[in-house]
Amino acid sequence: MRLHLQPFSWCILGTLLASSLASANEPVATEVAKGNLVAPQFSPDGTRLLVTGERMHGIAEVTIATGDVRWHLDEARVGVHSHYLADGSIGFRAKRAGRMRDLTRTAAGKISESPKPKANVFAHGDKIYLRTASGLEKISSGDRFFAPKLSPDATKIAFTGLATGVHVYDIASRSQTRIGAGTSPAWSPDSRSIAFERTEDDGHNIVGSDVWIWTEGARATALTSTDARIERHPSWSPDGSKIAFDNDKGSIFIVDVGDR
Amino acid sequence: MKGALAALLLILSTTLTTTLGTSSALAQSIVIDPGHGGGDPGGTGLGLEEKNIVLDTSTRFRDLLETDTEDTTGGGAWTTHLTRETDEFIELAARSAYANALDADRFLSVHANAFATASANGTETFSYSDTGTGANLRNLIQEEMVAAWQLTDRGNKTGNFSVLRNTAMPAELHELGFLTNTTDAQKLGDADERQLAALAHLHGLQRHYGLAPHTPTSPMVPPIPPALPRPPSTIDITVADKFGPVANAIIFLNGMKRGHSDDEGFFRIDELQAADVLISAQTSEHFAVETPVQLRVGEVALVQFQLTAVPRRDELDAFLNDDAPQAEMDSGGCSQAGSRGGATGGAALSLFVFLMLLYTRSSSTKRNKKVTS
Repeated sequence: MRLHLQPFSWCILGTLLASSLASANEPVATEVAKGNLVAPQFSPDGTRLLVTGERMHGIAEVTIATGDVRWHLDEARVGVHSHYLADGSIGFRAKRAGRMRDLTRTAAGKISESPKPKANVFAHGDKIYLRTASGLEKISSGDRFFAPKLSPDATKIAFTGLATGVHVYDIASRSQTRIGAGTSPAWSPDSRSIAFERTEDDGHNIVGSDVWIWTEGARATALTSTDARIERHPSWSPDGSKIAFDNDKGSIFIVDVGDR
Repeated sequence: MKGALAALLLILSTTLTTTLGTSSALAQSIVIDPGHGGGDPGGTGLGLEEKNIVLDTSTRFRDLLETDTEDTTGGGAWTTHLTRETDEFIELAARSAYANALDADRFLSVHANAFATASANGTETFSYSDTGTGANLRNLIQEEMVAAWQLTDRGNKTGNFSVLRNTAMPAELHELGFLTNTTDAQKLGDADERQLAALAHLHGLQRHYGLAPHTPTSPMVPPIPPALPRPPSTIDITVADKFGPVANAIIFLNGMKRGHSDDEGFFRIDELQAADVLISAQTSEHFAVETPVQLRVGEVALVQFQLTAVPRRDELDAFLNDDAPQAEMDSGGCSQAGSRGGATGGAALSLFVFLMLLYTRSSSTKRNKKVTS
């Protein structure tokens, strides 16, 4: 049978083709390191990335300029809560003497138990709680929530619902906004934006993921849209100009966020 | 010398007591992960859906863990979490992130197989690695399940599944049997057999922690007087836009469709239990809106939705031209071609192109840039 396309059909085909090529316009991401590396976080001075390994095993640092990787800890699960402290040392949680403890590793390699900070925001029983002057306030409803993250200016809280994705709670107005499907929200340094991953899966494996950015007063938009790469675990540089992410295959990338 | 020996024995004794005391006193945090759910049924066969089979088995497993915790005659102490408790879709990324955030001790995922060939059958269990604590958990769950159901032993395997690779704690993924095989499906579809499968999981977990397999029984408790009836709660919803009441808006409760607003934009959901719920409304001509509601016992909660209309033709064109640079040339051409047929035809064409764009984006495995959530 001969296929005869009307001009109208060509229009539709052209539109679909253009749509499929939209990824050509996304900002170019640069691979800075590879080799079983996951979940990058910028150091306070922006020169290094804190990373963990597959299954959150171990803690390492990547020197961005050279791509050198230095492993500091070879221990299961320590990557789950690892983060930089303001002075560049690394905070993490690990099991010691039968229970999970908050620990700090200095740049010199000394590890000590750090006093458990009294969190102003925390998850308990699948709800998110905020500690205020008048007591504890339950701030989430409608799902089972986890992993709350206070914005750098302490005015908002990002958290994730198992079924409903990423939410933001504004402390002053006591309003909860659902950003949409996604996980791993990360605050921008100016507290105005959140980068997060939006994955797609087939019930057994994650088959696609992009980094999305939500900015206060606007709707979320996709920063990346490649089919070939599965972008996960975004985090912002200290000056807010870049985002680091992993590709679900052990490589770390950095992309310019641009004038957003 | 005697004194030194006595001191050493005292230290050893104290250490041993402390260690045993710690291991028996601390409840282990267990995440149970019923696979699939919601719009993802998983495998299907012989009238069965994987998502329902694994949810039922998982909740039975959870209940057994809770009973085991209460039972002081044996077994262990557990804190349990389910990645889903109802028929809802949960992303794989959220399942592992949830378990990691909880600092859970173990992660057990429950699935069922399906295959094009009906002869494929048996039970199998996966871990990420062939060695280590996760593999030990895998081996014991498989051993207990083969003993419980007597299905073909497909063995202990490694798998690069998302929940095995992205969880930080020892994890396993169990495939109960094949929904597409007559023998296996008889087990999967039988509630008593699913209870046996849940018990096999409990025994496997108990053995993994060095405990003797123990079938827990509920402790004797005095009978509880019947609870006073709790008056049901109601949500009254009104839907309007800038022109007035909106009829036929679809109303959702926790993502489940409950009905349509009437001519006055009104819809009532009653006979509800007190809970935190999500109410949403949408029409084909308006953007969807959503709000959380804290529903108290016997309360009538009022929800007022003010809808915003979807963009008109000129706004659609602006969307196409401004937001998708690569589509600019083509969509502009379409708009012009359509305009030759008159304003109505042009608007219809733009709407069609817009809907096609949405369709291609939603049906693609990847979303395109600038699609708003």
